[in-house]
Amino acid sequence: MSEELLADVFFLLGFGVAGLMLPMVPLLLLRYIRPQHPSAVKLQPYESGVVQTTAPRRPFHMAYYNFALVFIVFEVETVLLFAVSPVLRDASWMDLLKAGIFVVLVSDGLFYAWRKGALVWK
Amino acid sequence: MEVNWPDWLNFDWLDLGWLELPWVDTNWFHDNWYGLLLLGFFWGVVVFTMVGALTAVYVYVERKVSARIQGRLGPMETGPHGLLQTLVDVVKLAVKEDVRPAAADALAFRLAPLLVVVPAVMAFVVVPFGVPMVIRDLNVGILYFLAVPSVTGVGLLLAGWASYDNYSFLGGLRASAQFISYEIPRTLAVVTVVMLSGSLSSAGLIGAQADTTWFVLLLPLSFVIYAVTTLAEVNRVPFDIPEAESELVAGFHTEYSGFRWSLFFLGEYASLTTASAFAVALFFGGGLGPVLPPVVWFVLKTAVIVFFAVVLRFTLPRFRQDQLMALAWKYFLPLSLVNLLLAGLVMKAVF
Repeated sequence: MSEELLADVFFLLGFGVAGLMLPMVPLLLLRYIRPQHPSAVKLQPYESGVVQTTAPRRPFHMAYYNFALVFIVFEVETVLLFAVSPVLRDASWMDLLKAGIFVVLVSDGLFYAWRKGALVWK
Repeated sequence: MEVNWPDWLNFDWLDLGWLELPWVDTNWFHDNWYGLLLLGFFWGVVVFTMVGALTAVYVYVERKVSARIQGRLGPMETGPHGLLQTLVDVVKLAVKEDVRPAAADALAFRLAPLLVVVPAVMAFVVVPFGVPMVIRDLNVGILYFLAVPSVTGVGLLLAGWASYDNYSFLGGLRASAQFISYEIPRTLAVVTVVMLSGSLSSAGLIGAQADTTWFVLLLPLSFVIYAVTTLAEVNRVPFDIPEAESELVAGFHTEYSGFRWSLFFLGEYASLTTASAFAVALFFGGGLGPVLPPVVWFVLKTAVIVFFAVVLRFTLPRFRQDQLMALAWKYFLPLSLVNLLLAGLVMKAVF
């Protein structure tokens, strides 16, 4: 790790610690001020006024999984583009064309998923 | 970049060098790891306090604007024109009972609000407030800005899952699905800006726009994509499906109350501010502008964008879940891929 990067990491670490402390310290201190009268009924989950009948931790809609899969493909693509994009400004037409071909190839993945019906919310 | 700013602006005052305390060696802050840790801590406290105050102002502005649009008066009783209303609300939230459902996952329930608020505020580190002014000019600033607030999505999902409530669970799922769907077009829109600016640092971004022109003029399509997807990313209307009051009873934060609930609110407003501030930095030349100092320009431009988001909230109806997903994957993603190729041509034409 370069020294500059290490310096940034320590700065962000300090920033993050401050960020965690500022909401947490009032939360801990307010414990002594706010009322605390729990009862069995109050601690039930909210279900529009009736007793909860179905547990929320159950299998859920399959469509979420499809979208998550397509997401991973494109997220990896964007990370790769981030590595390339800052140097494209001074690149030649040939290099630009190569980057363009990469984008077109990945777009093909989108149209494959589209044709297979993975992008339909049903 | 040849711009002659007055001395007090050019001065690197964010480094605490301006303190010039005889007994403090300011280099110390940059030479040691514990110095850097302290410096980061200092700025963390400053920024978090600032965001807290800003949120109070936002809440007031939002209530007043909504009242104007809906032909009401809004808060009027507490203080002149209800100016003290938010302050009183903060006190109310602070002394309210903190209810945690018996079936909820205790650790995850406590962790989720922190995961929402901390990354949202940490994004402020790379916001270029003035032309030479960034709290810390990371060499991967733009990537940092996209990556760190994304953790918020995990926080929303965790909040929904931990609450052990059907509404919250659905809200959390929807929030994360929406988050990942709009993330890609948004990132691709930012990539086009990086291509033009030639660096990932947020200070370099402003420099590149000082050399050419506002990027919104070169990449109008990128701005449209960024603006719409950002609304989805910060769960604003018309994309507030995860916390739709009328369907999901506030979604992932149904079970939260009191101070913990207000942390979600704080996180939402913080991410709206950073996203608007970055819209200004990416597309509207950041602090560039005549006569007034850069910081003033930056704040003015950001305020205009935030105001626009507030007005939108009371003008547009909400999308349906399937429309929301279709919009992201079938319209914005192909559009942003085409935009990427177009931006390559624009870049060659300009440079």
